[in-house]
Amino acid sequence: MSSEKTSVELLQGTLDLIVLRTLQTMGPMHAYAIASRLEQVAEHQFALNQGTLYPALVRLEQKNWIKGAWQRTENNREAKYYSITKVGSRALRSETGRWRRLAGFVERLLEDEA
Amino acid sequence: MRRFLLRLWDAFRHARSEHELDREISSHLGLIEDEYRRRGLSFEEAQRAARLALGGVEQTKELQREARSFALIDDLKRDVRYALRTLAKSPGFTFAVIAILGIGIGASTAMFTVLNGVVLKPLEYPDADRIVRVQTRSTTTGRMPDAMPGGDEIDIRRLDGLFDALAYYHGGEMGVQAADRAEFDGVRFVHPDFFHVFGVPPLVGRIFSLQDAQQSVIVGAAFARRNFGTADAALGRSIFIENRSYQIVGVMPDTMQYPANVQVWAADSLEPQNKNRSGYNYRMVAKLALGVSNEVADSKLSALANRLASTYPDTNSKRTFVTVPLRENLIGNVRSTLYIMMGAVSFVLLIACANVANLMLARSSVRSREIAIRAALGARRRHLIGQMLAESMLLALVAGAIGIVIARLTTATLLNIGTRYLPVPRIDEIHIDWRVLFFAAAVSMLTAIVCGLIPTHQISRLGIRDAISRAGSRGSVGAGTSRMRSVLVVAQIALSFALAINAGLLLRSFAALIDVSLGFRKDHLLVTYAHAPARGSIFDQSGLENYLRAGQAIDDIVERLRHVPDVGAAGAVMGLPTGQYDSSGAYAVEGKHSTTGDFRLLPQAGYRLSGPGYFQTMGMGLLHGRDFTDADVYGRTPVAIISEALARKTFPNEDPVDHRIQWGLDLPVQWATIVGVVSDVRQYSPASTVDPQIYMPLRQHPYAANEVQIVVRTGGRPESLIPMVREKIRSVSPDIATKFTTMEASVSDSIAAPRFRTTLVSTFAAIAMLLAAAGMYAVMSYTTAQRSSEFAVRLALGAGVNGIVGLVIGGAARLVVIGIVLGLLFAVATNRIIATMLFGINTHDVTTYAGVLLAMLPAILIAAAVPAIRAARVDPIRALRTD
Repeated sequence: MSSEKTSVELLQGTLDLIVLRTLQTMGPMHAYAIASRLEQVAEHQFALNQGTLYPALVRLEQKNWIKGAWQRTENNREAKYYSITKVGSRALRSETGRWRRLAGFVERLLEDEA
Repeated sequence: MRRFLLRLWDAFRHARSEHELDREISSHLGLIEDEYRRRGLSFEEAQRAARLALGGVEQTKELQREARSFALIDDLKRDVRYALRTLAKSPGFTFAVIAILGIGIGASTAMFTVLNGVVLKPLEYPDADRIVRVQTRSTTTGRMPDAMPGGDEIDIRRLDGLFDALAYYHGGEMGVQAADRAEFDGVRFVHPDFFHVFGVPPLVGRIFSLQDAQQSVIVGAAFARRNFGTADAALGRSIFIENRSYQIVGVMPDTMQYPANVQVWAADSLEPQNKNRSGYNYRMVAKLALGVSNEVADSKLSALANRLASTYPDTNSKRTFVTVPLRENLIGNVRSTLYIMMGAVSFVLLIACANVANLMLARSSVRSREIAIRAALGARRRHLIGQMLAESMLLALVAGAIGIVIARLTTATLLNIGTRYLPVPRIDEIHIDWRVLFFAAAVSMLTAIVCGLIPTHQISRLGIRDAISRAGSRGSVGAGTSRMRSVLVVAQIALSFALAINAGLLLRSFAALIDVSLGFRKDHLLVTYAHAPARGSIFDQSGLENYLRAGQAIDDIVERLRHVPDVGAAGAVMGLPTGQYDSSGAYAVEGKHSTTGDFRLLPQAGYRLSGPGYFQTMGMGLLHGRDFTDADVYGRTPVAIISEALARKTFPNEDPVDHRIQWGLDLPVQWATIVGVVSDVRQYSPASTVDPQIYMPLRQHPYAANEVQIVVRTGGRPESLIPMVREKIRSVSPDIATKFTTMEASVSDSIAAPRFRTTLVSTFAAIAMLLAAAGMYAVMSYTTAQRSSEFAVRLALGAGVNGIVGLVIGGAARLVVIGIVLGLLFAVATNRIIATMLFGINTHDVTTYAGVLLAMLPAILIAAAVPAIRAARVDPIRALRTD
């Protein structure tokens, strides 16, 4: 089992949230663009195997939170563009809240221990 | 849920998703390559770098696929693989489960095959749902005689628009002269429209038109082959029934099965010859016109019945007409028997399920260490349950397949035995079809779920820590598992006890049937059915000479048989007990009953005709007066002999002899002098009540005397007389058709249905008891194994072997007592169903209950004792060391 995969598994819920958020702010994007955006935001601190995006994309699509559609890029390549759905937006709001609560809890915990 | 469905959907459109994935990933790679190319890498370098950035094409695909479908397909595959491995590792367990379930599924599938063929499947005639029987129904008692009077038939035929085709028919087994031989066949005289009702096209030739009345005949393919070689050869030939010639105009295929066992359909007149409204002489079958429902037909028929009731109040009051779907009419009698069989067999299946659940449970507790470790390593409860289910599904599938094979093999045997005892209609239509397969599959899946879920229920309640600690020590039995297993054992005992009680009641009742006094001696009697053809009709008194000659021929035969050395006695009768001919009706005694007015108010009796020596041959006692003599012939003073029951009823305190009696068998109705009283017999079967009978001399009633049963008493085997009797009859006339049986066989046939029921239910009960004992054995073996270290300690501390065995049996006895009490309640609740089938005992027959208990208790206790004794014999040191 590679370490990347393990880290992704740990990040499972998180990656979903990140993708949703990215699509919410940036509008429809293809997988590569999402990956590039993530690397950019992370300031290349954590290396993402771009392939690990796919399970998240499938999950989100199955939940009907995002929708994929084939379009042409500016360089005239065809690519599957994902966009967030209404359900997805709603889910993002509640997931964000949940994440904040969880993060706050972990943060407090870590501070106490320190 | 939505995700689950999507995944399911995905599993089906796997190919499409794969294609989409390919496309997306290659586009993704392209995009990365573009980027790298822009940064100045070569084409090859860009390609390589793109793959690296993605993390491997195949890996990515695999990740996506997993997300797409992991729960359903992959889990299933993994579970099945795992299940196959585990099952292969314990072949004993696997074999036991498959065998037990296979028997259960096989037995129920076989029973269902019969039920399906007889009861559930529609008849195989075109528009079979429109074929109905038109029957009469008493408006006071609700009774529905199968037949109806000829006069009413004519009025029903005049109704407009109700029926596409309508046909009366009558007849029975009788002699047919074909080619140069005479044989007994099922013969029906039918209205020429009969075949329009059924719509079965003939194999060769044509069906009747109205011009065929009383001239043409249609025969079955088997009859044609037997008498003429082929169906084609039969066409145009003539056969004789009652000395009347009929030309064969058509041959019917074997699919024409109505009425059952009929091979000869002779075209009768357009109107019934007996037009009275009191004798139920004809049956009616019809095809409803398109768009006419049973309700519409019934309302028109009942309007007609009301009109007839006011026109002919003496005969037609309190009578209405109804249509009954042919299918209902056909299966009415066997349905209840088949449902009871189905009920009994589902008991067996339930017990098999409980047994298997028990085995699986035992195994799951043995495996609890493995399960606990897997759970600790992160396997989810859902996965563990899924895996147990996969195992039970696999087992049930194999068992189901074996069950179908068992069903296929046993159905034939079942029918073979069954039809010997019980006239099963539509026998040719009984085979395994999609309904049966569906049933077997459904039953297998259900058993799998039941067997698989009971143990998993246990697992899911199990805490991980709990399981590990329990698996670690073998000192005591886990309370939860043990309770569940005890419940299963109790259920098995209860079910099999209930089934055994019902079987016991049927057995006892059957024994009573065999034991009952029939009123005659059935041993050493050969029965010969003989039909001397005679042409003419009682209604216009035509052909009297023919009938008198036929009667004389029968007399001659009996006379010749009496002089054969092996023959002790011989006599002729029409209406032998348990035989084929039956007639009954009202009677009136001079000075006691009115012979004018409503004849239905008169007392009823069976009408039997007999010749001199019949009572003596049968071993019936002439209590009073004299037997018929050769002088009691047509034209002399009419005489009669009455049965004891009739004498008791009508002559309670006086001598019936010399009183005059009359009845409605034939014309003209005359006063007959009672010359004797004969002992009672059970007329239809050992289960019949003892009813009043009137015996009349055969030779005084010529129109009823040409088709008779001749009984011959011999010291040896009755069958050995057959060639001699056949020869004697041929020597009198080659036209006389004959058919042989023995009185024993005839009586035995009359209780065929109860015998069949009893045999089958007893078999099921025996299987059930075996399974229950096996279940007890299994649970006790397991429990004692679990407790072996405890026993070792006890033994080491000085307990005797007997003490240990007592301990175990004591535990078992508790289960047995609970099971038997529950089974008793269950038996009482269910045996109401068979109450009407019992004879001589009621459902609370204490002897039966006690007997079943005595048979079952030792079997189950022995099953418990064997493992106990084994456990107690173990060397304490060894048992303690294994920990």
